[in-house]
Amino acid sequence: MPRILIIEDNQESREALARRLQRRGYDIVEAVDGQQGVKLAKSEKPDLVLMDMNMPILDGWQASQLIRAAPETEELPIIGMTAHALAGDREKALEAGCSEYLTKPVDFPQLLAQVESLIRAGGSSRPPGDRPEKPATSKTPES
Amino acid sequence: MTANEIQISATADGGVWDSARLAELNRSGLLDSAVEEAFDRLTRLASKVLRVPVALVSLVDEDRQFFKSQVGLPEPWATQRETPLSHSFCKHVVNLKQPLVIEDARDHPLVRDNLAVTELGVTAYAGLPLATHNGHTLGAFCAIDQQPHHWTGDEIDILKDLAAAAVTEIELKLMAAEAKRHAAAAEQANLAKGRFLANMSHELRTPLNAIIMYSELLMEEADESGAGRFVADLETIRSAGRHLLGLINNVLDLSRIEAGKFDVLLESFSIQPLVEEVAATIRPLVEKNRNQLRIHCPSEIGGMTSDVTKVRQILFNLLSNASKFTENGTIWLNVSRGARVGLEWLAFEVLDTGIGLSESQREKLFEAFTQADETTTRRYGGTGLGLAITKHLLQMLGGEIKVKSSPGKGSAFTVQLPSEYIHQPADQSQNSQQADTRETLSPNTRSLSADPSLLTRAR
Repeated sequence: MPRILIIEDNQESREALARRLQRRGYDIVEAVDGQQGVKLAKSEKPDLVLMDMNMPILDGWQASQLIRAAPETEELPIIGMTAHALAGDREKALEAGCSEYLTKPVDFPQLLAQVESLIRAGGSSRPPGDRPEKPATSKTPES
Repeated sequence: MTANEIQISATADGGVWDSARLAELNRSGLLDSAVEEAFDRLTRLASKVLRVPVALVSLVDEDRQFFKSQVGLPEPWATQRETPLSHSFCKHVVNLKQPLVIEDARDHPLVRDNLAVTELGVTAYAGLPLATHNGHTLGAFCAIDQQPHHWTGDEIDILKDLAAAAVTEIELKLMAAEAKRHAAAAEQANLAKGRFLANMSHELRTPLNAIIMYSELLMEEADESGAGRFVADLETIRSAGRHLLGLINNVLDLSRIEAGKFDVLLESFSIQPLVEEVAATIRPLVEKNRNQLRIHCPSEIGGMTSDVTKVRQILFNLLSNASKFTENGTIWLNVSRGARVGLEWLAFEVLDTGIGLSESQREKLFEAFTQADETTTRRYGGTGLGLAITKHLLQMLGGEIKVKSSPGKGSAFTVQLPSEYIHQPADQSQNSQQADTRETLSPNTRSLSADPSLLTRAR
């Protein structure tokens, strides 16, 4: 099952995204700020990162650069998201290493299409279900 | 009038220490300012015409008199350009708010003990108030003789005219200072507005995002858990949320455009796929009012160099308006290429069979926050910003828009855009930087600019 790391400080946004992606069969790991996100990007080996750009402690631009700079995560696809697309936000996100960029609230079908194509392009060799069921940080779908 | 009486009136309104008077003197920026020819020519003239050794433009501060201009003062006063009030005759002019004419100071009860008599050699004095239109006497224009001088009526008249000329100069300073203050205040207000909008954008959108996301989530879950009867209501919440978001985004877009914060990102793109994409996005809106959409975009239309996101937003705004104001009708989008004044232009024509516009409505069409009239807003909704934004976007891309319409018969909006838009490099220094950014980003920019979520923002 492809694993997606959601790095987002706003709890509602994070949960709603997580639940909708879990419903589509993705394994979700959540981080509440950029610092935790960079750490989990290394330890949890996600196939893709959904990154909010405006966050406390370490913002999405800095976190994306750190993910790109580390050898074990340099190829990891990142989709950047901001609530208000100010002029230059998109460019800044791409410069920081994001592969794609979306404005919140994300258009979910479009997000899914990008997620699928990026994971496929990333040559993820793991078919869904290949990965052993996993750790405390990853949330299970609510029943 | 005795010295004692003067002392008393000095503390009253309009005297030397009147706070409004001192405030205006400070606002003028004249205190301790450099020597200026505009004032010097007046004192020179006074000295020559009246044949007196000394003439002054004296500004009376709370504890000194400052000479904006002087001729003939002995040192050190000439260099210091000020004296304490103990040496000032002009302070009396300020207190009296009237001319003070003294033939021989040594006999005059008001000034015979003044230190100017002994230390500056002032014997005869004629001072005219420098009174601004606000009624504040900021100082005096005076002529001084070192011997007794009988001031004739003609001499006093000349001094009056020179004093009036000095007042004109002072008023100019006050106006310039005021204009500067207004400009600074306006800039502050504008910055505050920008900050407010940025904050408001975030504060409003965060909860709105949650409303939209959760209504979408609930729609999915309701369907699966057999609560499908809620789906239609949830869809209403969702679409109202998206609509509100579109309105907020429009207000923000316009304020950003007005603040010059909207960058132009040039790239080459094919027109037909863009038109198809816009058509696909707009179709639900067209069909909502049972309209038909007809597109004429020849396959050989080719490409253009412009800002694709803005072109898309322009087309979307026009088609969205046409759909909104047309029922059971037809909407056309015609694209053609032509040459004009030695340049290639692309014409995007949006025609509808809708309610149309009267002449007076057409005049106000592109102004912000104006819809045709208030009943339009009640019936059709919207912020009235779509066309104002469209016009701004077109200006940024070197294009223009024309409208033909008559009430009840529909409207025709024609947008002309240069086929190869080139930024004026002298226009803004930022643009060259943008061009550089675009070079490095162009592979990604293309795929990103196909972001349909941007289209929803035009609503």
